[in-house]
Amino acid sequence: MFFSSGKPVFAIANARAGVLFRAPIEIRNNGERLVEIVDVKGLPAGLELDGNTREIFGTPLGAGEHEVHLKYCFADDSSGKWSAVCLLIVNPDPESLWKKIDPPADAPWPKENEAAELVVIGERRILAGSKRGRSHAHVGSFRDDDYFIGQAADNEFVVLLVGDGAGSAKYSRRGSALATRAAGGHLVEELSGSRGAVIAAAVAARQAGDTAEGIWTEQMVGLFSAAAAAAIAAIDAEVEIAHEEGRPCHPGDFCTTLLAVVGLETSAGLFAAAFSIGDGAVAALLPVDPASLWLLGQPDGGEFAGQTRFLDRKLVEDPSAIFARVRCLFLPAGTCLLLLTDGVSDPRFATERALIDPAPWHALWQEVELLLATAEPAPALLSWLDFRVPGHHDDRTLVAYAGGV
Amino acid sequence: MRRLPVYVLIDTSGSMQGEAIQSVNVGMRTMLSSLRQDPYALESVWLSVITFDTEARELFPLTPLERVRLDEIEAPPAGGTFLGAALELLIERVERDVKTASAESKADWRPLLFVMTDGKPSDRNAFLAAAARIQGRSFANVLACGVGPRVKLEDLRLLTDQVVLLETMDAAGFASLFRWVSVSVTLTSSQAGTKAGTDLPPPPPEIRLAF
Repeated sequence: MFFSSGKPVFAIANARAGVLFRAPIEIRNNGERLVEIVDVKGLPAGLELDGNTREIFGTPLGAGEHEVHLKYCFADDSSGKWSAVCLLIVNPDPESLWKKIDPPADAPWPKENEAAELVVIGERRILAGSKRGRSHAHVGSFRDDDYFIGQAADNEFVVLLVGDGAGSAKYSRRGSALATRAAGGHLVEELSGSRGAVIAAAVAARQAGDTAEGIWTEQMVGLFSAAAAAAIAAIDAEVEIAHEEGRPCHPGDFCTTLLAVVGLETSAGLFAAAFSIGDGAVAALLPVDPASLWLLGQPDGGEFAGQTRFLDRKLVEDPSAIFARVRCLFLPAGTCLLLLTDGVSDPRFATERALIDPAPWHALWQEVELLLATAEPAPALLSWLDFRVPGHHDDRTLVAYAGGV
Repeated sequence: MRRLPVYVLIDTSGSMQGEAIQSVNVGMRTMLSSLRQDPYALESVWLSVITFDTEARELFPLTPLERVRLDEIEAPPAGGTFLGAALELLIERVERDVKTASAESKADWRPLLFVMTDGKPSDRNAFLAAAARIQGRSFANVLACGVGPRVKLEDLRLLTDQVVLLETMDAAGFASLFRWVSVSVTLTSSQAGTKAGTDLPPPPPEIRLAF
C-alpha cells in the first residue's frame, strides 16, 4: 500500500466505554524524522494526554467516534507546527446494548421466558431451571428450551429430560415442550407399571451380585424408543390440530434436541439410564470423589459451531440408532446427575476435552450445591442462569439430581 | 470463544478510483459503526479485509470487531482486477485461521464472505478454479455485489446464488449496499447463536437481486 501524501499518519487504538485505557499515539509514514506531539484536542470525556509518555489514558465515559486534532512538530525543526486528525473509537460495553423485549402477545403457543422448580423426595432433591437467553430477548422471540421432571413407582424412579428447540424451526418452543412432556410422560407411565417392576427387579439382582447379563439395557432401549416415538407422535398430533384450525405448519417447524435420564435409587446405589440426541451434555458424578465422572451421552456436533442433530422420525424407527444413543450405568450411592442444554454446556466447558474432565463438572456441581443450600433454590437457579460469558447468549436449561438415600 | 469470521473483499482496480473508492471507504466506516452498536456483532464478529487490483493483499487479518481500525482504502491508478488471486488468498486465510471442531478448541461459526467488484476478473482461469473451491466450502453466506456497468454478473453467479447489482457507483448507492451488508452480518451473527439457518434480509431498492 502506498500513501498519497508524504505526511505522517497518526492512529490510536480503540477504547471501550467504562474501561481503563492507556495507549500510545502511533505514528507512521514519518520516514527518518522524529515526530513530537505538541498538543491534542477533541479527546472524549474521560481521556487525556499523558504529558510525559505521549500516551492517551483514562476511562472514557461514553461510546462514540471522536475526531482527535493533533498538533505536532519535527524534532529536527521544532519551530514548524503541523496539524493532523485521527479517529479515536470508543466502543460501547456490549452488555449495555442488550435489549429485553417480550415476545408478541398474540403469537401461537406462547411460552414463559423462564421456569424453575425444586422437587424434594426424602433426602433426594431435583432442581430444574430454564431461562430465555439474551439472543432471544434482544429480538423479542421465545425461549426454545424446556425441561420435564417426573417420578414413578412411589418415587423409586426419577425421570429427567431437557430439550432445546432448533433456532431455525418456527415453533421449536412448542416442539421442545411437547417432546419433553410426551417422552417424559411415557417414561413415567411405563415405569409406574409392570415394566418398571421388571427393571427394578433386574437392577436389584445386579446390585445383589448377580453378574449375569441383565435385561435392563434391552428394557431401557425399548423404553426410550417408545418415549421418542411418543414425542414424535405428539408433534404430529399438534400439526394435525393446527391444520384443522387453519394454521398450516409441518413437523420440521417443531425440531428439538432431547436428553433423557431415568434414575433408580436403592440402598446399593444409583442405576442411571440415559438417551440423547442433539447437543448439550449429560453426566453423573460423585461429589465426594473429585476424580469421578461418568458421561451419559455423546453430544452431536458438526465441523462448525451450531451444527447438531434433532429428534426425527428416521431415528425413532431405527432400533440400532436408538441403541447407540443409550447408556446404562450402575453407580455408587450418592451419585448426582446433571442435564444441560448447550446454552449452559457451551460456556462452562471451554473445549470438547473439558467435557471429559471431571474438574469443570465438579466445579459446576459445587455451584449447584450452593443454590440448593439457599432458602429458595428455584429462583436462585434462575438468577444463576443469567451468568455473563461474552459470545454465549443461548437459552439456558439445567436439571440437577442430588442423590442419596 | 466462538467467533463469527467475516471476510470482505474489495475491488481496488483503476476503475474504482475517485468517487467509487471514496464511497467504499465511507460505506465501510458506516458499516463498522453500526456493527459496533450490535451486541452480537461486538462480541462475536472477527473481520478481515482483502483488497485486490493487480495483486491481492490482506489489509488486516481476522481481528475482533472491537479492535478493528480501518485505514483509508486506496485504488492505485491503472490496476487490473485480479479477483482470482483475491479468492486464492481468501481460501488460504480461511484454511489457516477459521477454527473447526477439535478436542482442543471450540469451532468458529461458519464464516461470512462478501465480495465487491466492478469489472470482470483479469485472471479468469484462477478465478474459475477459486470460485469452484469456494462453492465447495462451508460458508454461512457468500454475498457478491457487482458494481457499475462493466461487471459480469454471470461470473459472480459462479461464486454464489446471492448476487446483487449496484448500478450507479455513487455515494448513496454504496451507503445503501453497506447498510445491507451490515444488517446481513448482524442477522448472521444473531442467528449463529441459535442453530438457525441464515436467511438474509431483502436488499434495498437501489440494489437489485441479480438472478
